[in-house]
Amino acid sequence: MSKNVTELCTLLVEKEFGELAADVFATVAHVGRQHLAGLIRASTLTSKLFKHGLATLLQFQLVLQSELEEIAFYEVSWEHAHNLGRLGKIARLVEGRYGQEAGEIVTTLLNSGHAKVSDLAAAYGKIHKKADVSSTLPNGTTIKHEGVNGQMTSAKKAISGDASNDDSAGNGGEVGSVENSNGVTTNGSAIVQDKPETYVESDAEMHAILHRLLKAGWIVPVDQRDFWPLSDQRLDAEAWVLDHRFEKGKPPKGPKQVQALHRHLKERMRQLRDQGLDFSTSSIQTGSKRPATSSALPPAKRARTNGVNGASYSKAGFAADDGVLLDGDLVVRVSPEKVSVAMRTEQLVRLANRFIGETTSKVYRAFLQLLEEQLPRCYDPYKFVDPDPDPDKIVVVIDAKASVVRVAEVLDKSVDLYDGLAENPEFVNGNTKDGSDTLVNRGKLVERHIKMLSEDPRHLASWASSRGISEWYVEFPRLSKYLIQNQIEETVQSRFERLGMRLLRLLHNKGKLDEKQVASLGMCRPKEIRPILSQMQAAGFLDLQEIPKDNSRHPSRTIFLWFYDQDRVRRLLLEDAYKAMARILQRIEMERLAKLEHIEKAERTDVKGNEDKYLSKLDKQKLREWSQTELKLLVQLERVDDLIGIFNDFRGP
Amino acid sequence: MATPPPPPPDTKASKMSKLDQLYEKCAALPPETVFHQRDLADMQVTDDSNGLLLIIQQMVASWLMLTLQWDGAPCWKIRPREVAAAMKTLVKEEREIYLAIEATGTQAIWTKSLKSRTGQISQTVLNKTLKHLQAKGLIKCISNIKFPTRKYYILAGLEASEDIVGGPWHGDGELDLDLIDAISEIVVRYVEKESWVEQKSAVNKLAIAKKRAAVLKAQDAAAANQPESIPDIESTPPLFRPYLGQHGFPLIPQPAGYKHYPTCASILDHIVGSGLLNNLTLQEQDLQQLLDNMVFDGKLERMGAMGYRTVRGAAAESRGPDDIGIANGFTEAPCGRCPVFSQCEEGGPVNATSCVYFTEWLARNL
Repeated sequence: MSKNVTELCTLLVEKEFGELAADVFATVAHVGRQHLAGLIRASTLTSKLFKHGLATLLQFQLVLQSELEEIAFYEVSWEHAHNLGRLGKIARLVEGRYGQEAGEIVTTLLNSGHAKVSDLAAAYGKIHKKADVSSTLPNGTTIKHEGVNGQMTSAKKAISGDASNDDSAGNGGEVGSVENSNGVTTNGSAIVQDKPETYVESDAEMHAILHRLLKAGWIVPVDQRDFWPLSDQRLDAEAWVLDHRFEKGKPPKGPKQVQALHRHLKERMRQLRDQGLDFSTSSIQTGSKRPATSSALPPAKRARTNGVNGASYSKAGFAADDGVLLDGDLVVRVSPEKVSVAMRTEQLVRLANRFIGETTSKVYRAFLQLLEEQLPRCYDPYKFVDPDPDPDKIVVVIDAKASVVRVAEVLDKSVDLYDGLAENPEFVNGNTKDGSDTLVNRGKLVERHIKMLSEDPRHLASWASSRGISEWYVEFPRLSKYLIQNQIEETVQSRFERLGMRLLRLLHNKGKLDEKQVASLGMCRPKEIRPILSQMQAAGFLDLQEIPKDNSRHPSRTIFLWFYDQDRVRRLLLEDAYKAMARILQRIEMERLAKLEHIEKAERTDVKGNEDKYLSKLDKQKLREWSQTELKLLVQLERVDDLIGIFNDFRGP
Repeated sequence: MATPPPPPPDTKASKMSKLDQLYEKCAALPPETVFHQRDLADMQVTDDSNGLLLIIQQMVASWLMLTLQWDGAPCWKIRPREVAAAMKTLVKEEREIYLAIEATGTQAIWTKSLKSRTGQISQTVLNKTLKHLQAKGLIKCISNIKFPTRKYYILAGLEASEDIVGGPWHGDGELDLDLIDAISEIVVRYVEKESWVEQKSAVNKLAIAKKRAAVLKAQDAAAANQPESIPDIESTPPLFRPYLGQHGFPLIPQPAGYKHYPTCASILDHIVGSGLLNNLTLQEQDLQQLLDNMVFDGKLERMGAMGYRTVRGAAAESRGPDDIGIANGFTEAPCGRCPVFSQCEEGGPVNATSCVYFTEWLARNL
């Protein structure tokens, strides 16, 4: 991994788990795959300290452990490390979809990496009962609750306490992470919400929420293999494939067999990955009633009760009359892949909002969230590919689709669907609004919005079928590419004015052109575009190809062609985005140090709860400045992270 | 072509020389007409062909006529009398150059090709001669859009062909950017009117008012220094500000299945119909070039194979300053626009801790 990613991930680890963990993480990242003794040798830490740090990292799957050989080898997991920068965002995304309680549960889960359902329930109960800010993990490491995720530090809490009400003074025991959900919003609207304190009433309710999250794929059961590096997972799968799919002792030979090996390997990897998901239904016990929360989600399917799980049912011992009950021993974690899916939804909704209209974008959001439930990830590397496709057949693979009626069902009833729809000329006499707010009628209106999305030049939706009900899907791979291009264009526009963007789009559309062609097609003067073209080349957005007319390679006998390589620019901007995120984190630390005196004062146990008594006017002023600065930087951090999602996570390799 | 004097009345014809009679008859026809011997004979100025040839010879010698070739047979064109008179005063080289320029017609000729075509004339002589000819008003200098640095010469009375001066978007050999801007403006306004609907309903005004109230409330809250209430750098989120049409109502897209998005042809009709073009002739392919370019510029977008729609807010942008500010998280942060970002490194001369751009940016809107 590049220097920038390493730097960013190390900073994120430091923010979340403190210096020791960051030190260990940096060592493992720097050394690469290595056994424990080798790592300790490469580190300046003592063996005891190093192991201590490593344990934390393993718990959060930030370092993966290879167990294929006798000695364990360690490797960092970039995906999970980068996800540390998204904790606040994840909680918010979940909260927006499944309510505040779900957001809080996910936050609890994120704070412990992975957890048993029973532990989760206990820990969650604790949040609301215990008066201790820092939660203690099973392995004894204390989590530092600091701002990366938009979580409020205690300093900030102090301020919000004295500015609005004495909320933090009253229940100072509430973990900062619970509050993080209402601080920052993606679209940047300033919403001040005073959310009432909610408690998950019972374990049963908590299980119902967890079940919904499991079903939607937000949380997934943890498997032994999740702690292995990807290469090990592959090796393991390959050994299995060689054992079971090929003759013993005869490694595959020739292109055909090698191809078959790859196919089997993919299949095996897919199978191993998805087997946990079956587990999620089989380990669920359903009671006599279905959960009452069927408005936003399809009612949970009744799982078959088989003998094995029947045993665990009685073991769990929860009163089951409220519906779903999960196996208390089930270990779960948040799926980072699902987070990308939700982030993609946010970006696509943003497009609809920008190019079509607000109401339509709300319909689009509801539509995309329905699709989300059918999509565990943006891109499946182990997807089944027909080994020898019929070239005459055009195959449209639709992974997820939704009908307009379903969209109308889940869409917030307060959305005025007539808004944003032009009067249909067929009903000029004004009887479009026949007033009936029935589901059928709303479905029709939803369909009109979705048709508008599909007719947009970006084709945000595509027609799937109309067997009785009209169904639609979304071409995600194409739109992911569009999002990349769109972000590149916006970056270019803000750096090189509109003309730069125009030239980039021109070259994207026409391919390689010499300067004269660029000028004539772009309808501008050559002397105007020359400096912009070369600046854009220097910044890496454009490239120049030389084609000599003869062997002398003299400049005057050479054709120079400008071109634009989207993937190159994407990679370039991705690196820049990682670097920018690292800089923002460093700046936050620097700002914190500048106000450290005041922050530490506010964090003192005797000051807490008595802010008005002990904090001077200057203290309050400085603390206010600090929290605003931090918030501003954190929001920016999240926005840069959105960009990383677009450039890296939504697309396949 | 200089307009020939009106043909003298027939009564005077007998008093004129046969040469003049022939010239006037030729001049009565449209300029640039090519005459074959048969055409001239049909004018019945002379009694026999020998007489005619004699007169033609005289005219050629006095520069009133120009000999050309057509399928091996000779044919002729007349020159204006003033030009012929001027040519009489020219020296041999000047005449040679004039003939070379004349031969290229509306295609004009580059000085270098002129030099090679007229043989071994030195550069200085050529320059002097060209200057002299220009002073006499026989030729003019133009520039070619394909080779903007080269000097081209053409007869004073001719207009260079379109591939040299470059269609309606060019003026004086350069792109007429003002014209392009003006036409783009008309196009955007027209296309927006045709491709978006202004929503004139009270319900919606209410919605805007609600949104405005929400935004204002948020701003008030920000002013009251409540830290949680500043979730973003901009207190007014750009996406929630509806794009307004020409009458101040929010714009909504035409319903799905709308068939009447403006096409290149209909936009051209509108421009021509508006009468703003004066004497400029605009062809569909010229306009197509402009439209393509406006698509690249993010002002228009294609709807289907033929139609166009304005990108939401494109017209509002040209009406007022661009306050819709579309930027991503990267370019809004100081790093995205940092001129020394590549040197930025922890512990280096440029770093996040001592960054002046961050300080400046953080000081804004706090």
